[in-house]
Amino acid sequence: MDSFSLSQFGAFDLALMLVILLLPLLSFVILIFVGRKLPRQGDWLATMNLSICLGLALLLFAKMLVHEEAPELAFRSAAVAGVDAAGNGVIEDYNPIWVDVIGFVVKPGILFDNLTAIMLVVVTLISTLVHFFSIGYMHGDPRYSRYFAYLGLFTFSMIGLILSDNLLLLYVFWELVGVSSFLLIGFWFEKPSAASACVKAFITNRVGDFGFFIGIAILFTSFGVLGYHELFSALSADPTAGGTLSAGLLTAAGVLLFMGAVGKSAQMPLHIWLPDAMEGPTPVSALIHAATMVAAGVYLVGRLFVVFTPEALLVIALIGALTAIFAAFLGIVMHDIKKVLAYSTISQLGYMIAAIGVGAVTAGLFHLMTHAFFKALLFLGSGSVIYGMHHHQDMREMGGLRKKMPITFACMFIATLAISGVPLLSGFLSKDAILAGALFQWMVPGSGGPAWLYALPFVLLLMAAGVTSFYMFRLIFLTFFGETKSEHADHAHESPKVMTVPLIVLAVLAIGSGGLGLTSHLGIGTHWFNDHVAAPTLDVNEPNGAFLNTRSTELVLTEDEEHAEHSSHTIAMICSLLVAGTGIFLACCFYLWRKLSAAKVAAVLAPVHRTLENKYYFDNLFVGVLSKKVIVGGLNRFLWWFDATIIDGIVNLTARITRVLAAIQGLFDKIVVDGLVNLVGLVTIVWGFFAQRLQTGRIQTYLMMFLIGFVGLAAAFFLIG
Amino acid sequence: MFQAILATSPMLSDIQAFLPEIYLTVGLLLVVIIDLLPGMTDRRIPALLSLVGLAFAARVLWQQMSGEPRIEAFGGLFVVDRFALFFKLFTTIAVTVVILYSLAWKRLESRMGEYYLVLMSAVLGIFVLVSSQHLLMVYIGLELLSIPSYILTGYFKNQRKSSEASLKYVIYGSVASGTMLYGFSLLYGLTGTLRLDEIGPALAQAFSESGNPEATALAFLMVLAGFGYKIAAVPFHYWLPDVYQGAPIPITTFLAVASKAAGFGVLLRYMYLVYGAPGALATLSDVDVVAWVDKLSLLIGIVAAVTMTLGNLAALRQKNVVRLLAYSSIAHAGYLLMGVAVIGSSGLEAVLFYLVAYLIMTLGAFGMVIYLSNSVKSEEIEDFRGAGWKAPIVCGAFVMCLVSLVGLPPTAGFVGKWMLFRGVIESGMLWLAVVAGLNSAISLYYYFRVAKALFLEKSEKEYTLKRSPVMAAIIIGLSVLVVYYGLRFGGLIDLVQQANLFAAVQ
Amino acid sequence: MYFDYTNVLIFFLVGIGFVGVNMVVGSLLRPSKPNPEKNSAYECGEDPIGPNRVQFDIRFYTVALIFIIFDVEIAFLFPWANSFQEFKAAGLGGLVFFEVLVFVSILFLGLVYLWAKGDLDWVKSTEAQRRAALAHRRAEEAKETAADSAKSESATELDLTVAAEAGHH
Repeated sequence: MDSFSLSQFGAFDLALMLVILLLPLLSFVILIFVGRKLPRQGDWLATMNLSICLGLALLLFAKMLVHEEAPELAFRSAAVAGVDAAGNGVIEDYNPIWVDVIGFVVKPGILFDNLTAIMLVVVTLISTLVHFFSIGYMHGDPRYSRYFAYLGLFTFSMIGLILSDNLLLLYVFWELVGVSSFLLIGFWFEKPSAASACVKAFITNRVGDFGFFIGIAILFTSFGVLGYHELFSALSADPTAGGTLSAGLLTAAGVLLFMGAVGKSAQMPLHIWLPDAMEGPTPVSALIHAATMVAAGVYLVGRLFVVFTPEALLVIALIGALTAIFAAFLGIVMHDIKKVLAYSTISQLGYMIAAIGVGAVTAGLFHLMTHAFFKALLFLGSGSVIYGMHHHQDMREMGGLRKKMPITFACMFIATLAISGVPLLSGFLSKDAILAGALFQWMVPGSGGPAWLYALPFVLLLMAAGVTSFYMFRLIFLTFFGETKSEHADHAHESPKVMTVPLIVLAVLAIGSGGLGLTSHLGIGTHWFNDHVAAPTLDVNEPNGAFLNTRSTELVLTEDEEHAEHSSHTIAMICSLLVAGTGIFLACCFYLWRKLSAAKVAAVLAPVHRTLENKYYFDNLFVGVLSKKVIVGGLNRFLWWFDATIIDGIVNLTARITRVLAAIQGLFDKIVVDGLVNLVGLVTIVWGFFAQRLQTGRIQTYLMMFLIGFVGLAAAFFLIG
Repeated sequence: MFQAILATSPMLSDIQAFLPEIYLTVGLLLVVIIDLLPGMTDRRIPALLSLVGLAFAARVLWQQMSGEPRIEAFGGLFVVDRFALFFKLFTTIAVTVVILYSLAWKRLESRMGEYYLVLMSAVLGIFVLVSSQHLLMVYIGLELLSIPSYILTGYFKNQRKSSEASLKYVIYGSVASGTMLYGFSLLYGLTGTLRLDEIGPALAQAFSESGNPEATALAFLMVLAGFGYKIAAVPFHYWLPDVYQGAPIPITTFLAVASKAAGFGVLLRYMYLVYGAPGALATLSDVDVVAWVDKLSLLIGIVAAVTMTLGNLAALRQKNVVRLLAYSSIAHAGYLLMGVAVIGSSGLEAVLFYLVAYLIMTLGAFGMVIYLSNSVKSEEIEDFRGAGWKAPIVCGAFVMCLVSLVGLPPTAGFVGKWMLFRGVIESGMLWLAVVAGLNSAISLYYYFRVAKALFLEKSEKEYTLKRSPVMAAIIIGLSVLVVYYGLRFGGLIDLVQQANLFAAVQ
Repeated sequence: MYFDYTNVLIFFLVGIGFVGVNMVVGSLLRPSKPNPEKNSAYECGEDPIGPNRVQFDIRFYTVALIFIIFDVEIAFLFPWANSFQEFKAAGLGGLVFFEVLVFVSILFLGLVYLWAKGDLDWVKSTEAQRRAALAHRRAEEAKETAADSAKSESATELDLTVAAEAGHH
């Protein structure tokens, strides 16, 4: 084994990565078995382990920063191969064979490149801060040590997900992440809401993972490889995989892979689990449901960017943009401080997904990083507020906390500025890059669909930017300004140091992390992110690559396009500043100066407001699928609606026409968006009903069914073909 | 010594091939004799004798495993090849665990001699069934398995549910085997032989001359009805939930694992010899024949899809664990049928592999039901609430078996499903893989409900869980195996490849 | 494609037609003078006693099953006896005799088993079975009720009554 050297990568680095991966697992194993017997229930052990991980991750990252050949360490020459060229040991050779099924070999490899490096830092950093914060927040919980054990399991899975170099290993960690998320959401499983939330999260994710798995299966059956590196070379060499893979099938594979991201990153229509996941402890929300796990979907889409055809990318962009705008609207009407942040997270994830969909991969991943910092800060800040409020979360009970919790206020205010896109803060830079990318896509549309569809992402994302700044400032004003509105708010107090120090660290990062990737036209900063975390590319001969997405093949822009790209940045920046400013101004009008009344506006827009309060009716139906009671309830409601609206409507048609329209509007939402899952639910009921009816317990019926079944089979045989 | 005498006469090598069956017979006769002796009232004695019989049989099976790859006995009626040995060893393991469960289950106490006598007869039936290469032997084996199953189902003859289930089982089984016999007679009429290895080429010849595809199809479907009843494929599954619930739980375990596996064994051998073997239908390149075989495979695929879907959907609504596992076993029959639908080498291997996974995880699941019902005196899910924290390790092991039943990594169930999926996708039935994938997602819900009841819900009743170290050890051992084979399945795949009928020919 | 089966269909139709036509012609030709004697079910010239769907005593089935076992034994022994000389000639006489001895003794063991379990007694066995069944059912019921109402106090009472009754026997 060679020694550590700053300029070269080798086996020693592999060992470091393995240490980073295994330390959290170690703390999980120790804490789950003997955690209660350790002094302080072992929180110091978990925190120490994570701090070591953070240190090592920073070391690796620093090495990536100074590494001379860093630009080449993108996907195409993934660290393993690139390092090989540099003359050091080939890390891949250290891999034992993990799976060997009749000619199908999977090696548990590690892929380390710039993206991995920065993701490692983000995950370990936030996880460490959350560990510290939790020491205060979870103090006195009956299952204190188990909590830290679960955190360890999660961190282990997340690091594994980032480090894996093939889809199967990724899938395994992907599921492990889901499991640990399940455990942490349901941590307070005595609460029925938490118990059902964790099941909901898990099952919703399974729906996405099912698609993900089939996507992997399609790629594997076509190319016979699972490693990213091998997959990309196979794709470059022959995208049709010897004629077995058509453009349509590749699109399908892309969309199915994306389904996994839809589930994990809470994109519409599978976003419903994330708000409920807020039943978990708040530090968990910060770590898992804001900064890291939910970003795994974005990471996946970014990693596999070249696999997506233009059609698939268009789907991705549209779903991302729609999620961004719809979730942002929901943020306006929520009263629970964590719910606001949850919808904000969904909306921001929509941004990242849309960014990758429009081809601005770097911007999307950059936003992933900056968002991780400021959203973790917001969540931990809200955790601090909730802690101070003795576990009350309704913003209508808060107010005036600015003076009682000055540090929390200051930190959260910084994060709010960042997420709203106030210039020079990290959020402004990343969001601006995304908007520029979307605008560029509008100017130079791709080939995946009609050109007007390519205009949508920019428009929607721009609107979402305005709404974002509105609801974020609403949160700040309701929580920290005005009069105190309840006893709890009167007695609120600042949190202990172990909680405020992580806030301060994150606040610094929320301001400064943008410096890592300032876009070039501003002329300052390091450009590191922009230069070194580029979109993956393929070497493709034109005839072969006809149906691959041109973003990855056409690296040379025409003069017009170059001009468009240049101007898109300026335009996007001006637009976003205007829109964000408007949002902040409106929020001030409503909630600070009280010039406008939110209640009145809500009354005027009653149907809209009702739809929003019901979260577009997503939950009513999705939960209905998963829980029998609500299924029956939903069906009843539908039948009641039928009676009340159709039957009565015929009687006094004119008077009710407006209501019918409103109801149809609601129903349209339900039916269209609900689509597949709802259908499955309905089919389930009907089938279950029939299956149970047929199982009468009478042998006569059974024999009759035997006969009918047999005749049916025979008939089928003679009638087919 | 006995073997040495037998080996001297070439004619008697037939009997040597039949030695495991003979040991079983001797074992069960000893059970009868012991039962007649006065003073032998300990309920463990017959169990012990059965285990000894099984051990002797297993020893011979093990020797045969490393002997000749294929022995034909009794003029080709009976064949001992790796495939048959696979199923015999499989059954031996399953029945050993079932006997241990029977000892552990508190509700079995009277007439134990009869119980083991009948159980061992059923085992004998399975041994004959999986080795038979002749339609009459198939029938005898099937009945030798079925009739003891009827008796065992009605073992609690004073309980209404048990007797009722038994009667239903008898009637349903008779109708099914009658249908199957009709199919056999049609096959005989079409080919003029009852030997399975001759039927294939004879049918192929008939096809290439004039062909009588309708009658062949009808005969095939009738035979499928008979086997379909044994493996409980839709629409021949109606007996199953009632019988599983009515029978003593160890017997339910036996039916779910050994009996079902035997059904698959004979079905696979039948499909192979009549349709897949060299010279049989599937190897003809005639366009009509290819279309016919495709249609057949499609039909089995449809049956598989409907079976798994119906099983899973019906399981969603069950409140009783045994009934839930009953429907789950229907669903698993559906998954396994995917491999049959492929009618090919990879499908067969996948089925064998999945059967092993299914054996381990189903034994684990039923073991847990026995473990808990000994203390709770009930099999309702709601009565199991909170039991998980009373015995966390065993229940955790049980949850691992459930995870494997769903088919999540890192378990043997996952690898098995992977192989099945791969088989159908390779043979172009992507839709079937999609249906199966959806089904797995559905099944997560109800398996999970059990796990949730165990760990996440508060128990309403106050009771103490009776410790049973043997049962705990079995369940934990099984769950360890589930995970072990989920990670290191090379050895198992070697075994399965050895048992592959297609490979044996090449 | 299904033309081959047309003659089967025609045969089937002709068969039904033949019976139908005969019945119609018969009903047209014969005189119709019903009386109660004619309408009653025929039972060997006797007056019918009760409905014809009576439950048969299960003991008949037991005897029938036992009979079948020995019936099968005869069916096996005849061909064996026939070919025994040939085996003897081939020098395998002792072995073949041993084999059939095994076969017969297995059946004999079965007979002994039935005998010991009381299945060959006609009257006595039913009485014994009835009593055994009654006791067993009571014990089962008591066990079930005890399990159902483990917490309620009444269970202990019931147990006591059962114990008392068992004591009587």
